[in-house]
Amino acid sequence: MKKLIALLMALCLLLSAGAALADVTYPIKTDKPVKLKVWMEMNAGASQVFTNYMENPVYQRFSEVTGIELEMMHPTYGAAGEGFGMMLAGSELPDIIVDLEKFYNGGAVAAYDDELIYDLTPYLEENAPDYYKLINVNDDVRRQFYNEDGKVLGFYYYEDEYDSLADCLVVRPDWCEEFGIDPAQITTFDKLEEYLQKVKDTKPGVTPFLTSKDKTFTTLGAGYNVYQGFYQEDGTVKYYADSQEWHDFLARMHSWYEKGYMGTDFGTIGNAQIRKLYSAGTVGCLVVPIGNAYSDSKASGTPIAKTPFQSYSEDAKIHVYNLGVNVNNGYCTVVTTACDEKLLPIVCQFLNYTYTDEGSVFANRGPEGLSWVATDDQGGFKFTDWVIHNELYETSIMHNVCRMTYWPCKRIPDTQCSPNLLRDETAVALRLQYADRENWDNAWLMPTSVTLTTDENNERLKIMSNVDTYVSEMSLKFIRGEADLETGWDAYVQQLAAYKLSRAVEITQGAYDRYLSR
Amino acid sequence: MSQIVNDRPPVTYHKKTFFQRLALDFRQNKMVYLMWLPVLAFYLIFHYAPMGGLVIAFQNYKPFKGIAKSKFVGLEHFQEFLTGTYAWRTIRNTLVISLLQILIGFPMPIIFALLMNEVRCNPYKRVVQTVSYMPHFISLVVMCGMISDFAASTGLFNVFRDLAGKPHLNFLAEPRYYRTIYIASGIWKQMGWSSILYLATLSSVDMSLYEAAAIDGAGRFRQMLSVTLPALVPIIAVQLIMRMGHIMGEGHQKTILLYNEMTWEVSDIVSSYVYRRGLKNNDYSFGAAVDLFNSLVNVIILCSANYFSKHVVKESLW
Repeated sequence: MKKLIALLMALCLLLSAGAALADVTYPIKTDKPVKLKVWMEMNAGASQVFTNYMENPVYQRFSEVTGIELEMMHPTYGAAGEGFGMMLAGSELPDIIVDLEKFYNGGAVAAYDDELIYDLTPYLEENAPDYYKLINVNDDVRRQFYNEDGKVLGFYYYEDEYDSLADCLVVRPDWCEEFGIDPAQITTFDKLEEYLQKVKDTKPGVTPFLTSKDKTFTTLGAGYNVYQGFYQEDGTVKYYADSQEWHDFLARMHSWYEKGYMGTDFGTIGNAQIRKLYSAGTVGCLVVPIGNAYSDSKASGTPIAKTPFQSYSEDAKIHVYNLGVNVNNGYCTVVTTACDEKLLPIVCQFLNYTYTDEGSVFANRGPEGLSWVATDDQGGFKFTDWVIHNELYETSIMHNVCRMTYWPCKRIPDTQCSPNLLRDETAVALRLQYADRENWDNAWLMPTSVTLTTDENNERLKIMSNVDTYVSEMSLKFIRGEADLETGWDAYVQQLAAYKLSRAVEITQGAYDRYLSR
Repeated sequence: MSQIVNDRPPVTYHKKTFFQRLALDFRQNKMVYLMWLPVLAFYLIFHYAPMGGLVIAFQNYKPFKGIAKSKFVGLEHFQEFLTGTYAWRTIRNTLVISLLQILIGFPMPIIFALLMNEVRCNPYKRVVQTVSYMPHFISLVVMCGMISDFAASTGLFNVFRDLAGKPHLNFLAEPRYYRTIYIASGIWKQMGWSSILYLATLSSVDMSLYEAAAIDGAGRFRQMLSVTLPALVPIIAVQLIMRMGHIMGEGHQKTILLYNEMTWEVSDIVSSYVYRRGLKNNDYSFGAAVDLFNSLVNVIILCSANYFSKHVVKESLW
């Protein structure tokens, strides 16, 4: 008898375990048809083709595959922030909001406190098993998705494979050949200065280096271990603005300005204009997304050569290489309290689809048969004529139409799924060139999921508004020589202290410590 | 002659109440009142009714919670703005730019209208007027793009520096040139269009006044001072009072298009500072609080300007 009972219990356990591990099947089986309202921003390219995503056959197919009827709501293109505010203040709340973090002050944490969204944690294991498995793959990843209270507030973009960074320093290969310099060897600022000096000496009327301030500080600053924000060194949170690394970087930029390597227009003109100047041959090198540089080069005929990221010395160890830090890249899709609570299991099953292998390909590359067709059994594929040879629209527009841009999913890198990139092998090769840099890692960077409470966020924001204004002004003054870096640095650091920068760092340290103990 | 005897009883006039006079006026001018009704409705619906929403300046307003459920914080946002590090600088810049625009920019359309009024050759006058109106139709963004190009180190303005043998510089990166560029571009854009109002007023001046002045020995210039300018005083006073009512509300669009970190010391105004602050946070309450503060200052200045104008030149808005 006892054995029989034990056997029955074992059988029950087995069956329940089996039920928990059972995959969700698509289309989702429901008692009656389910209709969900989704609010999402339209991509720039797609907004030229459709007025609503339900006109897009990709989303129609998505609705069929998942078995859920969809109604899409979009803000006016270019005014998404205002559209979001009006949507919240209006009477018609959607069931699902895509990319909440971009628009809602305080993000998903604040939205949950304001009772705008549901906590999805209880529903994930059973109804979103693929997403659940991905976010629990190890402790580091788990910390990025679960907040301090152990809640998962939405479906986040999941990114564990990366292309290299798009921004890079680009030089003229024809001039490099003239000067006897190999672009692949321009790995330090000193070597880059050789190129800049030769451009200045031999090419009159050409500005050796010109780039927008933001890209200069982000891409070149990394070579001095500068990350423009809060970072941590062995668990101690710091801010870049009063660091020795920032001082050294500013000194280098100032020397470039003094030597005439950097144009006097630095800080006043945008990168779009600078790209045109490069194509016209009046700029020697610039920091630019490699995709843009390549397309400009094809259009204008001005050649480009990508260089590896430069650092302050050959054997420098850089810890701010901004790649691979965030598996959760911050963009969160949430379910609002306007949705019937009884539907939450179905909604989670619906949103789980794009985290399955098949769904991930659907979201990143598009539906099979419509956007791409398989060419062999080993996963080879090619894009259809609808995408590549569309009668009305260029591939640069179709690549945002044929797949689900902005939809939460497990991301596949662009070099494996973007038609705009994949139609040109050179473009892919350029994007992947120099991706692995020896001595470069991301050890000092903090993930974006280090979140603050609403009060902490407000307090830090008030401090950082003043700090950011002051640092922006002073950094340009130091570079252009209007403020002396050597004599003025101490006063600058003292002013930052007067703005209570240390309190902002303290708040961030507290948040980081809480994050580590999640 | 027989005496005329007035044997009728004396007439006593009862003073009518406001509503009686209004009713009488309505009966006599019904169409005018009916034409005015949509305007009244426009102001009531779009200007007076939304005033209730100003309460968000005293709250931590969140659109989802709505006005009723958002937390009341009193004067916290006003305090934060006025005690902020850059408050004094932004208010100073706003006032300086607005006052310079009034001192320099305001008289320009008047001078232009006076000069155009003296031109006798009609075809030439028409051509000049048309050309002067055209910049008004150029969008602000296009104009600021043009200025950015011209002011760059390889731009048009540096051609003149070349001729003077001076090295190139980026004018928009120099704080000392910012206000000049800002105000001069505003004059270039609006002078022609703004002069229309003054030219229209001048066209209604009685010609016999000029003839009388000429008979009295007044030359062209004296006629302008004694006949033309006094005819413009009412419209100038009204325009000036209305202009004074916008001193603190200097728009942020042109500033954001032209300014950069190197000129923030002179170019960062209240609107652009709040724009940067609000952009990071979608902070409706902070923006509303600053706007309310600006509006209060504007109303005080407007009432003062109206009062002085009434007592000095006997012209006023009310």
